[in-house]
Formats: sequence, structure tokens, C-alpha cells
Amino acid sequence: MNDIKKSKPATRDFVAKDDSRKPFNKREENFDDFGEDDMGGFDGGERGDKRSFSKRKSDLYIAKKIKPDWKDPNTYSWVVNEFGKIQPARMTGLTPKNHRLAVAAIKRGRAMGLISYLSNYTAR
Amino acid sequence: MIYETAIILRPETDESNSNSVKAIISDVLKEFSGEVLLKDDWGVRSFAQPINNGLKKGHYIYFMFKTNNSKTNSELERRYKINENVIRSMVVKLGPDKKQAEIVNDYKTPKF
Repeated sequence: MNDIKKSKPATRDFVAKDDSRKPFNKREENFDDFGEDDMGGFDGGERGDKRSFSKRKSDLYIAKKIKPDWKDPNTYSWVVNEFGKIQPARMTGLTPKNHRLAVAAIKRGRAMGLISYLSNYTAR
Repeated sequence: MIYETAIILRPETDESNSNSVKAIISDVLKEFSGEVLLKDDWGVRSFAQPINNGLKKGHYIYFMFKTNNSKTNSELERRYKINENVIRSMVVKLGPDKKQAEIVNDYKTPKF
């Protein structure tokens, strides 16, 4: 048992000469010289079949110079899907600050009966 | 500090009962040195979904006021709980006293 010599652990070169060992993001063949492509939201082939559909590119509240207000459901009813759930910011295209203001307005509107919890019906 | 309140009453309330609810706010603000900036009555309006075992309509009242005492809001909420006609109420902080003109001008009655 003393005859067995412990060999040094095999070192691995993480600096791969082939691009095929690197993660997908860092392969040189995938770098774009002109910046990120706007593929219209369809990332085919990356991580399997996960599709990210981004709907809006610009923030509606900045473009129209409006603030979300709980008293007026027209300002926030488009953030909610048909089951009453709040959509993530990558679907609505809102900045993080405006997303937080919209979420606060939606929750106040729900408590006061102006928008439903389970659907996108608003009071009339 | 400028605040706003919205109160929902039962739809069958008379004028006398609704006036008593409006008087609550003016009484409390006199005690605690406040001022009413806006009054509005949105009328009877149907809800987006039923509340409290089947209610579908309610009478909405809105106020905007200004105080510097920190105990007005707790006193208001205590009195809302005592009154029988009040279903729901909410107090929201809007902003400091400097921006009074902007806040008062930005207010519009919400459309049905």
C-alpha cells in the first residue's frame, strides 16, 4: 500500500483552444460586431426550446408622460393578463421603477374594487 | 403632508348618513389642525368583482387633505370602523406641502 504512489491530480486547462468547450456566450464565433441583434424576441437554439417573447421595447409611461394612478384603471389595466396576473417587466417593457409604481397602483386598485383579482375586468 | 382618502359606503345609504360620514373628516381635521383641499363624490359605482358576500355596487367618496400631525390618520381609521355604513377605506400619502399646487391640479375625477 505504500507502493502506490499518489499521482498529481490532473490539471485541466480551462482556456480551451477550441471554442466548443467554452460556454455559449463566450464563443468568439457568436460575437456580433454591430451589437446585439434584435431577433424580434425569438432565441432559437439556446438552452433548448425556451422562447422569450418580448412585447414592448419602450416604456409607455415615459413616452406618454403619465404616472400610474390607482384611481384610473386605464393606466394600468394593460399590465395585467386575462387571468388577473401581473406581467413581468420584460413583457411590458417597463423600467424597474415604473414597474414598481404600477404594481403598487394595481394592488391598491384591487383592494378598492376597481380591478379584479382573478381577471382583467375593471369597474365601470 | 398631503394625503387622500377614499371611502366606500353601502349603496343604500341616505343623504343624511353620507353627510355624517363627510362630517367625520372635517371634525377630525379641526381637532388635529388640518385642512381640506378637495372634496369629490363619485356616486354609486359597480365593482369589478363582488365583495363581502355578494355586494356589487358602492357609493364612493373622495377627500384630499393636509396635516402635520401624525395622529390624524389613526384617528380617522378608528372612526371609520365605528360607523356602520362604511365598508372599505384607504388613506394614501401623496407628497409634501411644497407640491400642493401640482397635486391639486393633477386630480381629475375618474371616468366610468
